[in-house]
Amino acid sequence: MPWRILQHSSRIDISEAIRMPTTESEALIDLSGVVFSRGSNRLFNGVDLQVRRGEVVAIMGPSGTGKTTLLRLIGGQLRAAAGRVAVDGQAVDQLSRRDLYRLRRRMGVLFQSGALFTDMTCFENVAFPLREHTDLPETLIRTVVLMKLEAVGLRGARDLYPGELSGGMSRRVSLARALALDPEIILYDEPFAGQDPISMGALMQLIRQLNDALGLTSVVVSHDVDETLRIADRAYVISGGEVIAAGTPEALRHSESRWVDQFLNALPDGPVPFHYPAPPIADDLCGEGR
Amino acid sequence: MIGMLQRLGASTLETAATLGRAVLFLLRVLRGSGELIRRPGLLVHEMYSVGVLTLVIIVVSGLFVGMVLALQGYYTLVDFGAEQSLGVLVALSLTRELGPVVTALLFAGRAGSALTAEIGLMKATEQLAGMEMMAVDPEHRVIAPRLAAAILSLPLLTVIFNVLGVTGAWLVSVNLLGVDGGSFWSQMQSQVSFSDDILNGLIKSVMFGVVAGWIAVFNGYDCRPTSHGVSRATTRTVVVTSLIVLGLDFVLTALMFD
Repeated sequence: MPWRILQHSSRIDISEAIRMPTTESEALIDLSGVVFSRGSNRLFNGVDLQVRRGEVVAIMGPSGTGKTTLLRLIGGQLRAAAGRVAVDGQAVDQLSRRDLYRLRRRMGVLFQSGALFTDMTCFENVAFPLREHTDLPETLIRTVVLMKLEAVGLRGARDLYPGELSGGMSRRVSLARALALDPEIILYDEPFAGQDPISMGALMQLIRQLNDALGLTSVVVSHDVDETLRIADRAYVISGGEVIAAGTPEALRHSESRWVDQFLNALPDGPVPFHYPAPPIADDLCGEGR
Repeated sequence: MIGMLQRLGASTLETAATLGRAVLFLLRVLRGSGELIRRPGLLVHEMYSVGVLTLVIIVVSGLFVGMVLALQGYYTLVDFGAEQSLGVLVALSLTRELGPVVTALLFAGRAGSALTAEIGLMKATEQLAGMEMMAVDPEHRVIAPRLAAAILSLPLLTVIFNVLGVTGAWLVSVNLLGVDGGSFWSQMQSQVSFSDDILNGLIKSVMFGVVAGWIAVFNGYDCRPTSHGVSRATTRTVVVTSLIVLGLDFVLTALMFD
């Protein structure tokens, strides 16, 4: 069906031209007063966060603050106990299953593990969403897949299985797969974790360039401060279930907050204690439990 | 004492909750299996890995079960001069009981465990979550074809098991022990009824297919996404399927044959 393809590919170019200047200030992803608990552990206690179209927004915070959970809330895989999670004006947790799945086609997610299908080659992995959601003929699927793989520099690795790739490469293939359906939003879950400096540089460049070239909106969840701040337009720092600082990377670097200072400068002790809460060591060593 | 009661109560609640989840899961999967009509390729692919790859163990076991049945039956029947009835004995044992039950047990060990491990690993490596975020429902895309393949494969495998069993019995009794081939087949033909014996056996195997498939895919989908969780789920699939198949077989036999 050639008309479908035309419609599909022209969507990006036209919207790119028309949309960007007019709706720049509109929040594409809008979280307000989000509360979420896991068991007895309250992860979010009223989080407010906005992502505007065309931005790269970083969400940072120490491990265990629920950054990945935040992405799952945006993707509708988890539901907030209170507050509102809206993507493009639609409240994600009130959508019907069908509408939610329709919305998800406009989002790409890069999982921390890559989440590639281990029994398919890279080519098949990238082709998967196209085969599931479109009726494109095989020759066109091939063209699209090769173009996406080319964009992440792995056209030559198309016949390899995920097990044969390095961590950085599999994340790039995963990125190509996330881009397959030309999404408007890409959510990155810890894209830099455990990467060598070269892969890290490649990923940083990809995230920024793809965002600008394709008119995407990107949310990068990470605790790699320097890398993330270098590519982000704005950043949120989350701790203890709340947003404790937000703003441009420059503003965050000059923040008065001791907490932000500790986080950005990687100080081992400070408002976030080095020790996990415990009774005094003297009690523990000489007390009852002995 | 109180602690024991608490644990008992907790485990009862846990079991009830798991059962509830399993039923809801099955309903959701069945609702999504309409897609298989549109994309039969998915089903064919799973039939291959669930059914065809189980063939070897089914063929070999069927042959040997039939051969052993014939041997044992012969030693008993020959005392009464009734060795011509060997064909009937073997055919009835196989079609009514051994065929469906042994095939289901072998199926649980070979295909059920593989299904659970595969789905569990897909969950542990976030492949299922990834699929969801690509707007592909894993319950429709991954689970439904596997469940349908299990339900369709088991009766087919049972038929093959039965045929091979009878062949094995024929090999041993007619070619080895000297039972008359004519009476072996003719007695079997007159005594085994299609509607009572063969059809009831097939109904059993369809039920076992539903049970084995359901338990296997649910355990995979519901497992804790860790290596220990997947290994426990795989074991649980084999144990629970075997127990339920044996129990269900007793109930079905009581209802079907009187």
